Amino acid sequence: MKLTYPHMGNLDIILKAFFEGMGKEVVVPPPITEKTLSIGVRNCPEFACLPLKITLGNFIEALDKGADTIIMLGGFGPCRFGYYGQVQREIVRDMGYNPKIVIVEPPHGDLKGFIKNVVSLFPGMTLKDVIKAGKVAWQKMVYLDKMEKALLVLRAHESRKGIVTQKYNEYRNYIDRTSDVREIKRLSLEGIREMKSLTKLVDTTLRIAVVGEIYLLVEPFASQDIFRELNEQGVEVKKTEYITDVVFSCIMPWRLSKIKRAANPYLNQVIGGHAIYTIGNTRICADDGYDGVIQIFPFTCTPEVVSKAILNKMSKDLDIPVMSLSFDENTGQAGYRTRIEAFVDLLMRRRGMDLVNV
Amino acid sequence: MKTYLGVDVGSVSTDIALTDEDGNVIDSVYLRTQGQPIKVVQEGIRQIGSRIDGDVQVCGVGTTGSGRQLAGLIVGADIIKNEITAHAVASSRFLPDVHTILEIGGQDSKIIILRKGIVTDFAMNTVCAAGTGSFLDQQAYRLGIPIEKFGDMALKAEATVRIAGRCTVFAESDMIHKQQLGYSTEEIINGLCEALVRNYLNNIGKGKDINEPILFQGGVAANKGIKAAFERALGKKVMVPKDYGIMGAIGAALLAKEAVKKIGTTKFKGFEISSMKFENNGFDCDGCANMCEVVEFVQNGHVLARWGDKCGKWSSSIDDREDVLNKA
Repeated sequence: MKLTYPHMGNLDIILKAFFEGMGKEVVVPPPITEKTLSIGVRNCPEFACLPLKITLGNFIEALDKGADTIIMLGGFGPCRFGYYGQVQREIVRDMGYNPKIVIVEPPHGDLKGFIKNVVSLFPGMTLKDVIKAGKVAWQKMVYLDKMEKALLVLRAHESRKGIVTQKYNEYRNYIDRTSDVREIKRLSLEGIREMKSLTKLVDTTLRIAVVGEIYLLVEPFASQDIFRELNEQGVEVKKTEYITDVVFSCIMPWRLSKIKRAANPYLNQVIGGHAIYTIGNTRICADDGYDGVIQIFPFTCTPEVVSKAILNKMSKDLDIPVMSLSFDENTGQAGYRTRIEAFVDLLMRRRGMDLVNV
Repeated sequence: MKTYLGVDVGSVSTDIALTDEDGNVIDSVYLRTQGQPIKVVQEGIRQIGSRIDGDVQVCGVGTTGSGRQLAGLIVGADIIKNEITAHAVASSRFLPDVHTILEIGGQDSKIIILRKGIVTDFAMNTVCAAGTGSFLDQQAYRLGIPIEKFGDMALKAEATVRIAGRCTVFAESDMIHKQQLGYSTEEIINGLCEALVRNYLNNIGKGKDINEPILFQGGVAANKGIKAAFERALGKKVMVPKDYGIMGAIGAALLAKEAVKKIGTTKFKGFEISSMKFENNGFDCDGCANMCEVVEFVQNGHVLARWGDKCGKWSSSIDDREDVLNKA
């Protein structure tokens, strides 16, 4: 059995650690490229959103590399992502492949039941094995996200374009290669120190929070790496949701309660997708003194379109500029760059910073 | 005399403005980009260069528009800025308390809201070019009317005809139906102007506080019919600045002045650039499955910049762009 799963930010490393810990052979899909996207676009319904297309591309590329079992996340609530696994099962078969497809439903507050479900996927493995593999995967998740958080701040001040990203990728690879829980932590902290040593000191800097749909937030390819674009314009970025946060929200309902409380004056119920997080996090970041908020989402994403309308009102109420960007299969960058630049200019002027930064 | 150059390379037109120290336009050029930004920028610079006196000294140059990076490499820009900021800077210079800027160009349209000279909000059209100059151009061509006369004809309309403006394809079929019903060309044109304005206000102006003073600029501002339609729809006065078509270029020139004040000297390569040899060489990188189309920008056989690669392997292979520019 050769397992594969979709790319989504650091998920490739995390799941690889878990499945390999469970004694399975893993085929990591090749990195997402325009070819991946093309496969998805060619074989998916046109009106579906970007995440479906990219993840399908991942599967096909992995199947071509020899994978025979696909693990896909399910989901609940009125977001289309929940049935993408089912749709992909049909598409993959129509394309003439015949892999085993396992759709994992998130724990939804029931961690015990979830683990039991997962164990049943791997006959012969004991609960102890699962916990051991889970621990390594967990550690990688936590410390990769921690390192990425640092990246999005430090890269804004790199002393030469590209060097912090390079260092980050270097340490990301180191973490991928180890399965020692303590070593993972040590590498992550060392990576952060190394990245820091490549930056220069600045007195004033803008801080932008990025909110929106989870796949776009976690997988940089989907948003044409808006985080890097902002960083390279000297802006510190806070990504409001990481894989860690998603997992925490699933197993610790009180985290969701905190978001719900923050969102409450503007949206008092979960309307599906990540809308409640978009609204709640915008409120939290506005209160935190962020200079601006950028919402990113796949074109045709209904929960985020609803959020976009709410964000207009929040922007006025909370006196914080908000810009919404939707992403689809077009890969042209000029339009996005113009909007991002103009938005950064706007924030600089609000802060009384000089626009002419030469 | 100390002067500043602003270059605005848009999808449809390329405008160059030569301004004095106060931002007054001394000379300007308006050319169609026609998909050849390098040639057009060179030609524009040549035209300006051939018309100026010996005592005119170019102290700074700025570029803007969707082709700003490329134009910046050609001329040796002191500053490269997006068109939203450039338009806002130029408008505030002409009307310091301007509140709303309506801008409609060839392929895109935008709205900019300012308070006390500071941009507080903006929006640009997204995927669709329904409400822009290219569409008007097309329809003028279809009706056999020179685009310059479009506005005056719209003002002559006696009755209003409602034309669907959401999408150019719908608008066109709607126009044909209304023509077959016997409406005059003037009325159809006026209906089209109103459709364009409705579309603009619904899409780009959605949720924005459009307050006076309002400036209307960009190539489409030449069209009196659209201006009148805006005034009717908003119930407010809309002003068109004298240099409505080259506001982006003026903004770039004003920004260049600021930039040079900070750096000290200009990087302008001089009017000789019109006779230099610039080339764009493209090749497909085979480093990964992305197969990025890498573009190499060459000046007189010397590679100035590379772009188009996702990973940065090529674009960062030119270490210090500034340094290369200075040597070139």
